[in-house]
Amino acid sequence: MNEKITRRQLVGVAAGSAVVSLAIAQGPVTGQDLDQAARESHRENSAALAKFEIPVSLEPAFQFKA
Amino acid sequence: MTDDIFFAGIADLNTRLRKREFSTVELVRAFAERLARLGPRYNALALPLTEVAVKRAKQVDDELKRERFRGPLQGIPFGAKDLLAFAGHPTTWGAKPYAAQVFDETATVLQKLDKTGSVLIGKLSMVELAGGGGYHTAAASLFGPGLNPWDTSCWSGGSSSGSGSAVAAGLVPFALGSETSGSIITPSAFCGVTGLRPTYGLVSRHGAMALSWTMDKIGPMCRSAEDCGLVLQVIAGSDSKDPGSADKSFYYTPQFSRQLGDLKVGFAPSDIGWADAAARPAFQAAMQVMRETGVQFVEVSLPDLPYGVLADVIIGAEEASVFETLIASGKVNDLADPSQVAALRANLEIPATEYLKAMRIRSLVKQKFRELFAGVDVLIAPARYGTAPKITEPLDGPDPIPSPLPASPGMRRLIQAGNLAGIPALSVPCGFAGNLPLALQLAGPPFTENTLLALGREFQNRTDWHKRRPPLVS
Repeated sequence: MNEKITRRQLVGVAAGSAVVSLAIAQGPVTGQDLDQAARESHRENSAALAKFEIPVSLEPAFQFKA
Repeated sequence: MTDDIFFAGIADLNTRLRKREFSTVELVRAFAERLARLGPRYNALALPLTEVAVKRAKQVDDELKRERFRGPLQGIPFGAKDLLAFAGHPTTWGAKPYAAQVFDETATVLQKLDKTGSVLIGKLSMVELAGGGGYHTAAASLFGPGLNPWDTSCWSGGSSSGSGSAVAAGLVPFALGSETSGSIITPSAFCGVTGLRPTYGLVSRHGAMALSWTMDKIGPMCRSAEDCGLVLQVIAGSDSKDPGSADKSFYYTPQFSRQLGDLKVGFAPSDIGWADAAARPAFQAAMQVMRETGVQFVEVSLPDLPYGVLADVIIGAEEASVFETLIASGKVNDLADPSQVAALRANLEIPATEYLKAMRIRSLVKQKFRELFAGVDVLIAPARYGTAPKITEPLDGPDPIPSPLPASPGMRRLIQAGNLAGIPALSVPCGFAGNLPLALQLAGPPFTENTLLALGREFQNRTDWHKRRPPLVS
């Protein structure tokens, strides 16, 4: 089970955890820090997706219908 | 009119209109005045529409006099999240860059409600861009932080903040909200109202702000499961203007729902351990009431998939495309929350291959949920595992780690997982921790809204949590 904590888990729609850890570690953050943290969150997501192996035949959920 | 009117259910109000205890104009004026007076107290009001509403109410009264009955929503005032277009009036999406935006077409759901004689009395506030890039603070809105009627030092939840507050405080009999990943369930739970996230595609999104084309849903936030069913029946249905439309209708037919004794309800025992300590007694008691309805409880666990990452990547990539012009123009910097600005900019860099991989794994999510629902009819879990946070708290702090650590992850990711799978969910108030509401979430296979509503209705027949009124306005 994915245990990565992101703000989506608390507020519904949100970004990654890097901003949080940054804010906790450094206190007030600048716009540049936030940009960097957002990119770090992407890197974390990329790494998590890369680890996930899927069959070559699996198609994306387009056109998505429930 | 007494204050009881402001907390009455839809069927009750409609019956009294038809008996001419009061007119639609009187009812609309009373709610509109209350919304205009108390809405700002909770930062819930985006745009009052009193004048337009009274004009429409007069037409509805004429119809009622001629006994042209259009159903239980006829003459009922309501509010709509400010991401739904109402022709000729501002639709701000809760965001400063769009403060002056006016559309010339009305959203399909508002047209449907108008046809049945419901009266829109105001647009309701929301988190900017429905939470778009991710937000750090409750103040991430053109209208200020959504304040919770149960305790105005606490957040109303997001992104349908005004819809949650307005229904809870008796400012509207019902409201429309929208959900991409928790935006109906969360404010419904935090404000103690009953909210329904419909199956993806059941309700048209035409005329609504797009955040994520493959995940956005519009749904009702009401006083009860019964009211959610009545509203859903009107707003659901095929719409050629919505490419995601499922081409299905919905008829609220609780009388034909399955016997509760036949229902298998999946639950995770470890969920109680993940809940805040103060919330556990209420959740335990509520689960016991659910058992007493006669349903069969079955232990289950959510399929082990990276829901958080999938939601981040899919919503991030789609919203970056939706708001590419805003980001490129630099107007994105006018948003209230710098975290959103940074995330929206960064989301433009999500590679297509990554988005597609997330969408491929999302196919697995659908498949795993189909398998899960082969064994159970409904999933049940806390809607949120604690109460509304203080508006001063950062919203993106790490979840508290309970001690002792529960043996399994339980259903903690049900909101994200359910949104990725496109399945419906109902949030029903189930008690309090301190002075703040708690709620249970019921989720089921696609297009099983009637089952969820029937179980929610039975729970509400046995409890009165959904009838409680916030102290400031009772």
